[in-house]
Amino acid sequence: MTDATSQGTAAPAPPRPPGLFARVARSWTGGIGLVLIGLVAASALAAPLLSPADPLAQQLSAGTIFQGPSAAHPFGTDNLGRDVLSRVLHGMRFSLGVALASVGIAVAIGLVAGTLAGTLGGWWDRALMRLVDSFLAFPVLILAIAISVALGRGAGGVILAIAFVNIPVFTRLARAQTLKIEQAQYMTAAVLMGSSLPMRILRHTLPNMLNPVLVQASVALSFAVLIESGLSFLGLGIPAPAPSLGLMIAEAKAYIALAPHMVAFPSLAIVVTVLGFNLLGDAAGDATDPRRRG
Amino acid sequence: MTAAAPVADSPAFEIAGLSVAARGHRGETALVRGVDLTVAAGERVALVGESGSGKSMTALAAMGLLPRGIRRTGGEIRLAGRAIQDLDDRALRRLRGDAIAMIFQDPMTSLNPVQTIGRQLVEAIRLHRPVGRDAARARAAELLDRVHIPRAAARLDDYPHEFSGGMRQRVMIAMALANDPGVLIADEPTTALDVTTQARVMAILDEVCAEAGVAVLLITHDLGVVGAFCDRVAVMYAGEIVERAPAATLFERPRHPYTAGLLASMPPLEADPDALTPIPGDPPDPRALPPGCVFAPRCGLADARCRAERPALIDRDDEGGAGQVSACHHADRVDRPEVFA
Repeated sequence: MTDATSQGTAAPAPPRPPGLFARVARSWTGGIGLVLIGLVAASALAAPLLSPADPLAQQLSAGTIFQGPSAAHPFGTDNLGRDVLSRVLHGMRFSLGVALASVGIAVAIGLVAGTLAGTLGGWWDRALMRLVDSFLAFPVLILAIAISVALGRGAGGVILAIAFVNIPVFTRLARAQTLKIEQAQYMTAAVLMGSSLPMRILRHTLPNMLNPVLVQASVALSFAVLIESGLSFLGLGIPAPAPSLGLMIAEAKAYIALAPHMVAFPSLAIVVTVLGFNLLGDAAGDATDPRRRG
Repeated sequence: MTAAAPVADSPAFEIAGLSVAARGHRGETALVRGVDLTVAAGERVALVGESGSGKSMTALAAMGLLPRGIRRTGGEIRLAGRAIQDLDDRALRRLRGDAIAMIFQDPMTSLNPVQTIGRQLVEAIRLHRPVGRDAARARAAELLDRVHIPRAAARLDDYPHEFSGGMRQRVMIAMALANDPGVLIADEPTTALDVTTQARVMAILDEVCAEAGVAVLLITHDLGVVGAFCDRVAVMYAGEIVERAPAATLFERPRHPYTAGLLASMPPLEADPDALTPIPGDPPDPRALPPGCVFAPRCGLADARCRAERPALIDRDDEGGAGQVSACHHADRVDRPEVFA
């Protein structure tokens, strides 16, 4: 009786603890991260609307190239007289798109492989984990360059290269989470209810690993932006006229003394994007780790 | 081992000659040896013993859920007369949560933290019943109400962390009884709860089991719970059943020194705490069981015969205890512990 009255009818139900998103937004770093990523995402989405000019339109005359920031061209113009702001906005669109697509692919493949490895165990688990370990042993950028070279230029190659270097990370994470969740009593309870293995994975294993996967994904997104810029800088991204942040910096480095804004603005865009994802990932990590919860 | 006499109308749940062994580096180690146990519909039977006595292994074997490396080496499990130990995984899945259900020790982690109580109850129902979401939800609310969760319908959308430990165990009881199983195995259902909550949960378990007429096998080391809840008791020691008796008889007149020892080590309310007598020594290593009676090394009554010859489970009816069996050469010399005098 005591139980029922003190827990149920008398006291109102305790407020639901805030979800991951609310906890992240409440912290300093998470709040700033969300704002930065919000800005980046909004400008990337609205790039065609926000751009003052066509990012590919050239204006080749002495008065229109290498111009510093002005009202007509807030970020100035480049060596071909193209509007840098428009190119940065479109470059961010490309970078974010590549990052989201590649991390999305990596999450999908990594979750399936890791969950299977953790659930099935045995030789499949051991073989897969040795494979994953051998890929994790490569420096990320070197591996991405190698894959990108093998796949050829273009957005598809970049996406697959970045996805590939992230798959081992998510596979390991999903496997570790699966093993942890397997130990939980609700998995035994599900077996006792007559639930089948695929059903248990869908209803219990995957939903319970969502938070750590989201945390890892936001960190992976920041690396994806960096890798994409790196690949483009090296000429392994999309081909030249298309606006890509890394490519813009590569082109601009020849004129760094003459027109420093050509390097500064794309670099700033990368910094803001990577910083945003990093802060977000940090805050999400804090929010999901009970030992670090303030 | 005396085999259970065949009965015309089969009991709801029956374990016959169950043996379980663990594979090791040097052959198999028997963990459960020749356990016989029957539970009739509506009856509550307790399986009592200390940690490592094999009582949980018996329960897991009954559900067909022995951990890797441990297997059933003999015996039968029967549900309403039907042997289920050799069924394949799919057939077992159909029985679990439907004909036979189980609740266990830790209610804090028995529910999926990221799903609402209602969703989990609905899942338990729909796994076995071809009913729609709404019908299952109505049934879920009714189940929560049956285990006395206040404002049951409103609480379906709450998450497990919004329930106390006792309420979570009540939810587990509701879930176990969702499909009106014939048999419920309760493995230490209240061990993780505090004493007042324990009493409340056992009272609710008592009530809903009586309503449902379900056969209950209660696995516990808490003799206090047994006395209040169970009709009959089986005492397990080192993988064997050493005594079986109606609960009242067992408390009144134990016929195995181990049972007497268990009773003596139970803290009574009014007695002097110094009167508590622990059983000396430790249970034997299952890899090196004594040749005679498994309890002989710890037993005050043990003599040369006990150390050489393993006693069989013998009917003690002639000594006045109806339905009492015990495996002891000196059953007539077992004293009722002082603390109960």
